[in-house]
Amino acid sequence: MEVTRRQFLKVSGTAAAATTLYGIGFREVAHGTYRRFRLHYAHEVTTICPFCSVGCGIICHVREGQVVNTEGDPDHPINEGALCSKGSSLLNMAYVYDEKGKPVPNPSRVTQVLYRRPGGADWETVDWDWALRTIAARIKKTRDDTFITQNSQGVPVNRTPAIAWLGSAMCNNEENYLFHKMTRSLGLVNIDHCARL
Amino acid sequence: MTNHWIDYQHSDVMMNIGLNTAENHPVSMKWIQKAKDRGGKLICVDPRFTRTAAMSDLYVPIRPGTNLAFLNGMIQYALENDLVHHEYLINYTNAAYLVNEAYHFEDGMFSGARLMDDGIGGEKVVYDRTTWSYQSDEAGQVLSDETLEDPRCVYQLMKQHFRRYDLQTVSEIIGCPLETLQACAALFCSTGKPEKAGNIMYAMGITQFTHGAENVRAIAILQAILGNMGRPGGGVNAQRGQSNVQGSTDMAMLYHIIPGYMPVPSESLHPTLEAYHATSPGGYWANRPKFMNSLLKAFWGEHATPGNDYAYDYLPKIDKERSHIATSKYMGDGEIKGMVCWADNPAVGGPTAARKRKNSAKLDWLVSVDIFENETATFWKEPGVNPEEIDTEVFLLPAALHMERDGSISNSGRWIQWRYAAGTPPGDCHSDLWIVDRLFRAVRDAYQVDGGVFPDPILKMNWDYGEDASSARVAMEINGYDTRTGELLTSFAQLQDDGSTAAGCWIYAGYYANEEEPACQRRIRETEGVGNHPEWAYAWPINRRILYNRCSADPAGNSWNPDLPLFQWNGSGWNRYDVPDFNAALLPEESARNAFIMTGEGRARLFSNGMVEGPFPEHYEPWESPLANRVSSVQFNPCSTVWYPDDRADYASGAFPLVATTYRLSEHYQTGMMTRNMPWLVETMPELFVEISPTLAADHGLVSGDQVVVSSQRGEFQAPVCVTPRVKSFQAGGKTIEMVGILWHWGYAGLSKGPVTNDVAPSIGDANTTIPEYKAFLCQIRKVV
Amino acid sequence: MHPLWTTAFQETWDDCRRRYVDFKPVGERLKELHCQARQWDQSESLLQEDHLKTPVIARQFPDYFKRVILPVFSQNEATALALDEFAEAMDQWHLEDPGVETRIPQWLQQLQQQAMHLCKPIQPDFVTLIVSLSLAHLYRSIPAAKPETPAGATQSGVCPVCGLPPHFAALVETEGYRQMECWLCGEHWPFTRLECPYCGEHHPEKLGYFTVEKMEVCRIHFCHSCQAYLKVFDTRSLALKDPCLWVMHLATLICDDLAAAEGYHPGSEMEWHQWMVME
Repeated sequence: MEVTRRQFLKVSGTAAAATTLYGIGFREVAHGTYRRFRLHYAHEVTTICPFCSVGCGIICHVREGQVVNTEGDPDHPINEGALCSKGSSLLNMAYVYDEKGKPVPNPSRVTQVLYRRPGGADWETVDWDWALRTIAARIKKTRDDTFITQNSQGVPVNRTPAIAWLGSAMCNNEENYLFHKMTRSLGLVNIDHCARL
Repeated sequence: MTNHWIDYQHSDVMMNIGLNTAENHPVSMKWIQKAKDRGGKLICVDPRFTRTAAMSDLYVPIRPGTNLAFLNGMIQYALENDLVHHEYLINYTNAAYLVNEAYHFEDGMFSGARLMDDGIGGEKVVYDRTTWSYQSDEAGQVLSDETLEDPRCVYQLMKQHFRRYDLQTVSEIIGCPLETLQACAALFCSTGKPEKAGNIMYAMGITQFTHGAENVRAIAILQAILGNMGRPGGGVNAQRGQSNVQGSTDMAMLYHIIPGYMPVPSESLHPTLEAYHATSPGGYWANRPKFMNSLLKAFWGEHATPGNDYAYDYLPKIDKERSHIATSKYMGDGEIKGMVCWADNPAVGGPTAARKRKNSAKLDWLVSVDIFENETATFWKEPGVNPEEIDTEVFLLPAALHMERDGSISNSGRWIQWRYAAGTPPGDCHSDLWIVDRLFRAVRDAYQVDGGVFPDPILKMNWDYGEDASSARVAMEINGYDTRTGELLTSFAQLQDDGSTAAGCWIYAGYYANEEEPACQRRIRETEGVGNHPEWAYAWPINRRILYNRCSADPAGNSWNPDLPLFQWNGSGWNRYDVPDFNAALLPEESARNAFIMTGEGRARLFSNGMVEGPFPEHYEPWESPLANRVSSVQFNPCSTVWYPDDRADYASGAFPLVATTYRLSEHYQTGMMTRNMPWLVETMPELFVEISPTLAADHGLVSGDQVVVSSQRGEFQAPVCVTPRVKSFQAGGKTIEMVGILWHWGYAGLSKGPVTNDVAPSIGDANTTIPEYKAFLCQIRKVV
Repeated sequence: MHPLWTTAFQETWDDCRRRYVDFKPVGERLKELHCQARQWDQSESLLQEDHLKTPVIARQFPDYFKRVILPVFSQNEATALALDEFAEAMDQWHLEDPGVETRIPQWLQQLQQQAMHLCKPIQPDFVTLIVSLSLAHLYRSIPAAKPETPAGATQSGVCPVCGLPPHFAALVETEGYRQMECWLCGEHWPFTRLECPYCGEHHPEKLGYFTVEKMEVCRIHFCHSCQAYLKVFDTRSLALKDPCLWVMHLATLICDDLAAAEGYHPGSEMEWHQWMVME
């Protein structure tokens, strides 16, 4: 279109102004009007419900890194926008409403790395580095203390029977794959999870 | 599932058995309703009149633990009344095959029974399955009789075997009126007509028994003889319980397998890679060496070479059973020193859960990864426990919610769907991917710095997914790639055993073959078709939506149901609405000979040597039962390991006269760790309760809301009782048997607290899978005054 | 009855008056337009031709302009003058008879260009109003004007009937399906939620929307691949049986201004915004 789109219009009662929608009273515009309107940006992101195995599609509305709303995805062929009571409540996992009706982070969430020392009566808060190093040290010690390289027939078995790993039907395929790799690299054989329950 | 959720809409008759779709997979009722709108019928088989029963056309009450008698009765009815799908039977099953003359069955036991050491100080039957085989000629060709008259053909042996399950007998075993059973059998077996499709959906109400796997086997047999497999509206459809239990099973977080359902190397069966490959089964599984070698390449990359058998020995070899129940026992015996419990809560979800919690104190260390505090991670502060007496170090690592991280999950229909990260994880929370990546790197660093015992499998593992692990990079490894060019594979048919390909999980090949537009991220709905939506996400294997789909058409290539042609031969090729699960390049008569490509026979196995208890399903009572086995003198599954003999209640003592079963609510989820921390859901279902019939309530002077203690040989708990006509007693074996329905979503952690009811469940499991028998055991109730 | 002024229109009109203070003058103007247009309807015998309708609309347009638009919008001298010039100019330049073959979008583009080119005092948003409201009326009031929905129509970013890209859409039913509405002929068609209808972009990080405080029913959905925007009204929360999107659009013109200020352009190519001085 050969329209002079980029021409700024001075809104000050000139003849030109008379031939805009403002000029004929079709819209309200005045100096500085722009500033009195607050914009809220958001975007939509799809996920799949974490509960049963129907695999309903969910649309999450995200504003500044926070999920502000969830709804069923109407374009998903299986649920077509419908959700059950659990799927409808997903937001409640992350946010609860306070007495004033404002959403606040769900206080039951575990948001810090917690550690319970032997005999301890409560949790202590620790940092990731320490936790990862310490857990690695525990795994290593238990593995090294109990590792069996060969069985009595001389067959290489390379396993440790002293560590168990449970999990997880709640994690993604990519995560589960890495769980499997990690556990087998360590020589774990006591591997299971709730699929067998 | 062999089929998928949307496909339900094509069913003419649906049987919900051992599951409660309206309660626990509510949205899928939409597709059942669509089938009903077309005239389809829904049968609900359940000990209780559930929400699904309320939507059904026929409700069949069944005593807990007697599904096999019921299913065998359905099979008997189909055989007796010749309602089977003949052409399907002869061409797509092994019905005509002749069985080894030495095979026999008598009084609950098959040929080849041997009493053997069960590995924990007791004995159980372990069958020598040599006689569970076919007759063949000198050339090794299996003998068969397509007239189905030879007394040694599978079909005749079936008639003989299932004859004992006439509906009158079944009615007396399961405690269901005969007329109801007859109506059910007539209705469901009407799907034996070629143009009809019958659907059986099932879940834990079938599997959580000492004979659970045989229940599923019986369903498969019934569907095969009725010609219901491999076609729209049919199938054997497991409705799984968690959003990604399909995926976690595919990725083999189970002791006995490695990704893609390959067996974990066993020290006795597979001491070498060569021995491993030599045990490859027939059918398409003959390609297993390619899948295995490609997996080893994915795991150990350049360190996996032909020279070292692709680092086969880096994989640990299994020595004995290490299932959940077994491992709990080893933990109690002090063998297990450390445990990682990743988004799993066995302290509430495991059988005989109190013992599990007690055994946790024997661990040196426990790592729990979760989004809320769960009972497993807080066993040391369970009410009544003295923390000072527990030396276990516990780590609780904060995880991100599902909507705070990306990655794919697989639903029950095998649809692999991508999830995008919406919010940012709060505080110190991280995605599970980040956590496992950092944890592995921390362990690897420790071995790099300090050395240690046989560090090779760790140090040489192929593990580099970026500074902050990327799901996309992991996905590409799982998908598979050419090790020379890096090109992503589109199908597992491209896998080789010579080290030129790597694939983390062969059945997933193709799901992430295009880095820009991965198949699992597709969101294109079909505009015409049968509801398969082939361009929405990606289904394994190779985007097949309905498995065994050669069976949707006759050997000449004509769809059994001309109105719903999944595949239709047009003279020179196939008109199709799915990816063929057969060689479509062959003429129809040829591909018909290999309709079940994963079996050596190329056919469905009505007679099979794949199960530990026998070639045919046989009813046994649950471990704890109020009745003697009616069909044989073998009381319960002789092949199940009895882990805790003292745990068993003796009905005759009268201490535990009631049958207990466990089930779930729509508003809560599994151990309740998530839903009991969500106030909206807690508001809808705030408290644990148990359900009993009005007659049992009258016996004990109970009304709804009264507190009762429910006890078993293993433990007890207290809860309010809900008196409801949804629960009724059973008239079976000449007795009146009352039932107690137990919910199990509660524990001592979380916003809404309650007792752990799985304390009363028995730690005995299926003979094939060791899934615990939560759904039928003995208990007692007493009013709390 | 004015084809735009249906019961749905009236109910939405009432709702917008209650909800948006700034809608009052707009609402009044719309009412006048309705009365004027009704008179035109009653006085004209509308053609009943069967073949493609663009030529029919083209022939009606100048008369409609003089008899409906001129009287309603000649608020003040300056405007009246400008509109008179426009009317004269239309007599002079020949609105090329598009013939049966020309599609609506092309002819529309011609009309807009000529209007802008020949009548400079009239600003883009005014031209858009005149052209779109009158064409929407003409198109809907001439019964034979609208072709049938093509059979087997699949999801498309443009109106399956007249080929125009939409300016607005709604989220409908409890499930929240996105339903496009052609501003010209009123055709409804479905379109997936998470895709740009103008360029097909579907990666979530390239798409987004913003709302304006106190006008949250209106979402400006934008695409960072093509920089176009679409107005989407989430009508699920409204107590209206059949919300009229035309009215809601005119009640939320500020959103078009803000979209332009944020750097987006209308995917419909109908310039609704008014450039404002930014201090």
